[in-house]
Amino acid sequence: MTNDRTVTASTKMNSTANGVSGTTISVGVPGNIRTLNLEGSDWTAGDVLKYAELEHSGYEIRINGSPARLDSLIRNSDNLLLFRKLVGN
Amino acid sequence: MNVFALLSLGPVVLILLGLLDRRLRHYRFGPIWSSKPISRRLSIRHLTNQQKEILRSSGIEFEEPDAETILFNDKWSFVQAKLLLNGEVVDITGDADTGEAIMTFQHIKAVQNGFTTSFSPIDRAPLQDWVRNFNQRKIAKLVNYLLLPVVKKSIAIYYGEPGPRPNGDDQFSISLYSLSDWEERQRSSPHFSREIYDVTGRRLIAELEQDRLNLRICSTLYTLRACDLVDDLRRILNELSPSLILAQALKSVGFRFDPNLMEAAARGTDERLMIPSCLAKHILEPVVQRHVEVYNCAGNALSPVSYENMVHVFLYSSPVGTPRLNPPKQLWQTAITSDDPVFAPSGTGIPLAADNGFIFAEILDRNVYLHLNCVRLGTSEEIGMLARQFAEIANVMKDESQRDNRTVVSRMSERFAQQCASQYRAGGLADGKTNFATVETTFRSSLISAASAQSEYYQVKNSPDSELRGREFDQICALANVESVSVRDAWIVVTTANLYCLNPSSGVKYDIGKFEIQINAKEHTIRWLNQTRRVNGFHAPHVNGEGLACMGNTKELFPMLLKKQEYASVVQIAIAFVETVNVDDNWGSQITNWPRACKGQQ
Repeated sequence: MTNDRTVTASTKMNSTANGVSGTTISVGVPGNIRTLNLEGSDWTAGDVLKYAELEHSGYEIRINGSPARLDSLIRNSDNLLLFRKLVGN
Repeated sequence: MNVFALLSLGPVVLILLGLLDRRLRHYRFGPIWSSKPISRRLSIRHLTNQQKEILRSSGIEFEEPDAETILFNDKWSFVQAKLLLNGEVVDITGDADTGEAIMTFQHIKAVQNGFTTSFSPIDRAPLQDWVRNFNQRKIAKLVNYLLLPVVKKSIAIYYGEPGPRPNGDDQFSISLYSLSDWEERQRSSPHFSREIYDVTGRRLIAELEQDRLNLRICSTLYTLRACDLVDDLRRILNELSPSLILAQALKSVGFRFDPNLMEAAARGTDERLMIPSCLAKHILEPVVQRHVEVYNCAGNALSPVSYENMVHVFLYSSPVGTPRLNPPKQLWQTAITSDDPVFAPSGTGIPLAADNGFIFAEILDRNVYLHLNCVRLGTSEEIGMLARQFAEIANVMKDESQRDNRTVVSRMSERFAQQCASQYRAGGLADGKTNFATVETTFRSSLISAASAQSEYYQVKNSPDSELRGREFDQICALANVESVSVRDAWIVVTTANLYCLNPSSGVKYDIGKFEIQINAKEHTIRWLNQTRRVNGFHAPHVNGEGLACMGNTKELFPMLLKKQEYASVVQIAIAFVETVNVDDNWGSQITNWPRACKGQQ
């Protein structure tokens, strides 16, 4: 029996307690992803990595699966992933 | 000879008698004018098993208070032993009741071959030179017989000036200082006292004593007074003796030292990791019933690994981040000498807190992360601290080994509550009253979150079709190149847009095709099926005709992520895997057989 599920979006803009809009993102390395609630919306990948105390040297930076740079802007619900260069053999 | 001449000779004769008495005292164990020598018991250390056997077979009685020392019952036993072993007494230290004979034997002399002890040129006043020369002979003898056989390196002795900065494994140096030299040096260079280096890689000397600065190094020995050198050398030998240090550390946490385990730990282990590995063998392995591998991560974050039959202990590491927090002043009422920054808890594992609330370790499955750089110098105090941490970890792992999957969350919750209480107690003494309301609110909020997480956990566990939760599902849909996602029984199926792969050696981009990525959430497997084309039967440069990949460095990554249900990460890496090629690999070198991407394509 096949149980197909339709695609729905459940994420929404986060609001902090004082009414200032915020940004909720997932960030980390494979196996250790954290969800961060960030105040404001003008975050770059570099800012987020610094805030999350993640060392990025030697890692590829991907935002929602697309290669990114430190100055790439982060949007609400983004997924910021760091991983080592993949080598098949 | 007149009376005046006799009177003037009197003091000289007395001085000579005094010197003679001092010289003979070592060998008679009492003043020369005493008809009954004092009953002093003497010990010798660092005898080989063969030498001990010779003594036993000759009927010489002695005790073995520890693994390194033998203690003779009377002085005649000592004299017989000295003759039997063809030993030479270098010096005798200790008090009136017990003393240690510092001896050299043929086997030690043999070790010294090829190594030298030298003094640096010095420029002192004639009288000091005379004293110095006398001491030089004694110092050289002590160093030759005591230190050199242990460090097995040439030793340079500097007097009144620091030796060159130790640069590695070639030479061991000793710097002798007068108090004024030392004070001057510290004034001119505030960090001088911290210029301490590890050459043998195992032992360093303990804390500086305020009233008597002697030494605290492994490669360079600083001492203020040459007369303290014997004590200093004895302390060095203690520090250089792994069995003694291990026995002390293990005893402090209720374990008994086993020399066989030390030998096992030494086999195939980096010398620097021998002591931690040995502690792990004594403390952790009996609990986890598996081999425990210890890694020195030196402040680098490392991802957890999952070799089924091993437990991995990462010293000074964490799954994520860098060490940035200030180290605690003490743990379990023992001072922390390292001022290296420490890791914050990653929040992904079971946290282990010390008595003051400091999270010193985390356990993730079979990975143990120690946040503190607790074996920086390798002193006996540090090894004791490491043993204590291992003992705490063993207690937790013992509990965890008895758990079943259904109780994992409640165990975590209990531990979280314990850590909260511990943290609160540690911080509450200072400003507990003022922060009480805040802490209560935070605690209530955390408890609600934990209860919610527990509920979610059981929901996910008990519902086979709900591996792909809402948020994770949304994240996959938002990924670049993902066109659709569906769940079919245990399978999560992702269809992608056309994927391209760049040949890193030529810079040419190749068109690989659209994919259906099939992820089995139960069996933790993954398949790539090219929906556009196959080349020589292959779905992608590193994916064979059955959709199975030669995983390379992702071999352990995918199962780990699937186990953790991090499906968004799985999909990202699965797509990146198709977009990457290793042209040094046989399969990867076939990339040139794939069609080139047209201009304007990705």
